[in-house]
Amino acid sequence: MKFSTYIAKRFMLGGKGAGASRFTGWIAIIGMAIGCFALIISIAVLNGFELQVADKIIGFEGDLRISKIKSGMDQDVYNYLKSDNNVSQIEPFMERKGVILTSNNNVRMVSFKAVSFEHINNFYNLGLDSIILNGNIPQIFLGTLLAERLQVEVGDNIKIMSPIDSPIQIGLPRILNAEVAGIFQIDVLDYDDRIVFIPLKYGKQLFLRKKSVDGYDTRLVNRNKVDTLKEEMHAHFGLNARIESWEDIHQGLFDAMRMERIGAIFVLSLIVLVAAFNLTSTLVLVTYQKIREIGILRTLGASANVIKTIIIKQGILIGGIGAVVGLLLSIGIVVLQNYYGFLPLPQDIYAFSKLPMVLSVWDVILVPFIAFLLIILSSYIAAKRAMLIEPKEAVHLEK
Amino acid sequence: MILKAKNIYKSYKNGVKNLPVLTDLSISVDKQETITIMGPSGSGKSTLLHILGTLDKPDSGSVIINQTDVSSVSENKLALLRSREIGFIFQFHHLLPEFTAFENVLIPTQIIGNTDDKIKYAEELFDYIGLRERKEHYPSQLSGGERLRVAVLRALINNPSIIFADEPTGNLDVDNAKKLLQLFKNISEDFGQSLIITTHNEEVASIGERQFILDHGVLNSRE
Repeated sequence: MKFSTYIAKRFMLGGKGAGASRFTGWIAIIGMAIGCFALIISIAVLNGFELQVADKIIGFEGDLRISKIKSGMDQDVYNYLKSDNNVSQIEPFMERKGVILTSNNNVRMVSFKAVSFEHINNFYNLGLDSIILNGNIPQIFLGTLLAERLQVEVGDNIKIMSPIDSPIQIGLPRILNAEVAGIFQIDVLDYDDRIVFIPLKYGKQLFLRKKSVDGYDTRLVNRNKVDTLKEEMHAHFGLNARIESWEDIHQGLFDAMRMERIGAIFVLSLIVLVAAFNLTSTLVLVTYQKIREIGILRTLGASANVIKTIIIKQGILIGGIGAVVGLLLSIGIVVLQNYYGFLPLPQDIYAFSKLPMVLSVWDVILVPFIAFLLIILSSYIAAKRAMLIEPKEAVHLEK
Repeated sequence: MILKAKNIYKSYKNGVKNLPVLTDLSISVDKQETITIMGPSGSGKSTLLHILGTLDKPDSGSVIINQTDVSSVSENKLALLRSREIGFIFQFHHLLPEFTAFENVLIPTQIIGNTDDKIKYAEELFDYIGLRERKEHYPSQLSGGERLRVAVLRALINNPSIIFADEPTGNLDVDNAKKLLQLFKNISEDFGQSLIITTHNEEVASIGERQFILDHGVLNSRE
């Protein structure tokens, strides 16, 4: 064992006869543990929420959307997607702003999304147990919030229309009678209040302005390669189609969540910083309690740099214990939460039944790295003080 | 020659005035030589010992230890020189309370990284002072005399060229002072070290092959 480590371990928390420095040392350990614990748990929760929201969005919208396809090119786009091995599902869609009318005269402006109903539950993850489709009448799927506002239930009859597709300048647009076939609950963004799925063939009847599909939602075999496909399609179709990943479509939302995470890391790092200040005061206290011993070590041949190293190692030991305890506790909580979900969330408020917690390797590296930097900095400040101790003065102190 | 100090001048600031402590002081120490320095309190004995032991710097003059001019070496080299060439014994034992007597003795070897080679030697040293059975005791479990004898072993462990003892018996009763004195007498014979002892005690001073009196910053031979 190196001399500096040997001494640092024995001098830790003031060694023999330490009173105040042992107490403040424990406070420093607890502070560092709380700081690291809070930082990791917060990051885990923010990660968890982000991933859950992303999963819901991807589940509802697919991995890559091709829209605003130049007239006459939709088949080219479809063929391109069909030929790509990474594309597992392709769903053509039409999308319009429209109006729903109920029998009790409730009216809502909504976004109609006309898709093939054969794969609707499978592709758009509506979470509906079973769907019985009746091909003779337009059936629709709408969100819980919209159903509440319209006061409709499954099986109710409603009217749908798309005013902007009115075939003539005056008079009423085409109106279709439809039946509520299912009510979904996504709990993300305003999907439950805005989106109404209608069958593609009725969409073509209703959306008269354009006969071809508006675009394609796709799912990929390997989601991580979404950017590769996007770039390839950009290169191939240029401005003839808009190609967006789920992340592009909701860039603002995910940017906000990332900013929130950076903000949380910054603010919670302040707890670690305060713990590090506490560590500095502990080390300074230990240094002054050990002033005679430090002086003796200097007379025995330990250089000022060795003394500096001893104090820094003491700081690493004290701060490190706190950081490791905080780290292990928080990782334990995250693991237990993922296995047992002992921290529930009210599902009527949140989209999830339990507090989501996810940690990446990067997070588990980042937090100790922040803690370690602050520990080194605070220990260095104390160590610089210790280097000023003159052995000739220290050895004259009697205990 | 182990140590040569030439024209040492040292003063301390007292307000705006400079108070000289050592004036144009020169001394040399041969191998295996024991030198004692007497002087009243405040005469500068400790200051002289600190300067000769490289713990302090003179305002002017030079100190040469084993052909090394200590004024021309870096702080790190000075620390290395202290660990290899110099041993210190203080009036207060200054053992580290967190370490056993045996560990205390081995600390200087830890500094230069040769502990493994010195463990057997340390045990022999404990036998030498008759404290083998007390070596695993902490300083708080030892008597004043025992602590000081352990401190002597700590000064000896790296086989330094010279040992400085600053009023070593000042805090001991008569019996323990006699035991320590006997130990000092044996050191230069048995271990070949040079020894510089500052003291108030006539009996301690008498063991010096050369004896000096430090008075008003000037070192005079004792008649």
